[in-house]
Amino acid sequence: MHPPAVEMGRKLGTHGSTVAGVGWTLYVGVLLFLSGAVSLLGLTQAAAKIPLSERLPMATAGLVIGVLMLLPALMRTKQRVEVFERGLLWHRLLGTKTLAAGDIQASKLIRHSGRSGQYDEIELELKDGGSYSINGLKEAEQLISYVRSWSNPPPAAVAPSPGGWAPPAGAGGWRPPGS
Amino acid sequence: MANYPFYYLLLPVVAVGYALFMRSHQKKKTQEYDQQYANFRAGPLAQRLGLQLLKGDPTFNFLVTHANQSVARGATDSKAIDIDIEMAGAPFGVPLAFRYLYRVERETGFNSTTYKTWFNCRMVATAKQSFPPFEVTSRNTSLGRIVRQQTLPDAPTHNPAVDAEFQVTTHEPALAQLLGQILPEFSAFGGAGVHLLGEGQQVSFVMNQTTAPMAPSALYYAEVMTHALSTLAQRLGG
Repeated sequence: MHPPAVEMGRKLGTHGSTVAGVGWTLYVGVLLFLSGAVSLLGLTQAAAKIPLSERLPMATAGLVIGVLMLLPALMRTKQRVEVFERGLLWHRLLGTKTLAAGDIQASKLIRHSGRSGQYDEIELELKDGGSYSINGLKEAEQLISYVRSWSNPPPAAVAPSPGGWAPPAGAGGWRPPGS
Repeated sequence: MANYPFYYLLLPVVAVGYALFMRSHQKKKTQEYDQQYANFRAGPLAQRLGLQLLKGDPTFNFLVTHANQSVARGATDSKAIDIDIEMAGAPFGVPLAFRYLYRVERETGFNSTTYKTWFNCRMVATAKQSFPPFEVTSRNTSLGRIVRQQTLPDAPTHNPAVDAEFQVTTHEPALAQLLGQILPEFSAFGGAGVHLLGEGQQVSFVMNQTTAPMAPSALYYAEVMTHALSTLAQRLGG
């Protein structure tokens, strides 16, 4: 259960995920999983000729390694972050995590570049000592910028200066000098 | 050796020669651009804008950053790229400061190389009085959306042309309305983009390294920037 979004203020945006950096893992994972399934079920003529007891070890290995490779990639692609004025909701394959602005102590944007592509990682350090890494989000720079604004909010009130700008009487608002 | 055709030996020599030629050609081109845009070197730019160069290399070219040896060579494990430039003055009666910080550190690990990058480029005008916080970003730029830094709500300026071109965010409707009168001067930046941050007594024009508004394209309009920022600060806080 997470607190209703209204407690975190206005919604500022949604950040979907990208497959950048996990394309190779997805490709190999799918191939291994399919080859394991084909071997296990004897779906080709060649496989059907081999007894199940001989096919089983290789088929199981293919299925297990395939799933292990697909799982992180699927978790990556099935995530989404909704960012609000005072916190964010991180929707993942295995549930939603709520992070309030006040829980976050520090943040870091890390750009990973490699042969399999480039993706951004957002590292959030919590005040309770924990930390989270959100990988492969779209427009990660915008998200980290909002997160940083939580620790550096703009001044809420303006101190009136003598003889110059002053809030209009009664309205409590602000007026430019000389108005 | 004798069994190999002549061109087997010639091809690598041609490839190396071509690579060397291209490198020297690129270097020459960079020098030409550096000369062509010499008025965007820190020293001449400061003079042109009526600012004083307080810190940094006066020959650093903001439009042709690769003309700087340290940037062209790139960061190494033992030597970081460290460009730190500061200018200040009051060409239009309002204190104006320009800061350009670009630092890259490199750490080579066993199977990965980590680059730590710091980039801060902004022109800041300081008013006499403080005003409510606000943020202005161009709605469309040639490099996509501008990364906003505040979580303020949208506020209409009641100037349709300004509202169509800029996204203005502030808690204060009167301030948004005033911005509607001042922002047309910033239209000169066009596709380069505009990112203004107002906090306390300061109005900043924020520039970035990889996203809009990029420092070189925004600084191309440096004169407009200094004048428009000074006017803005004056109108907001005297």
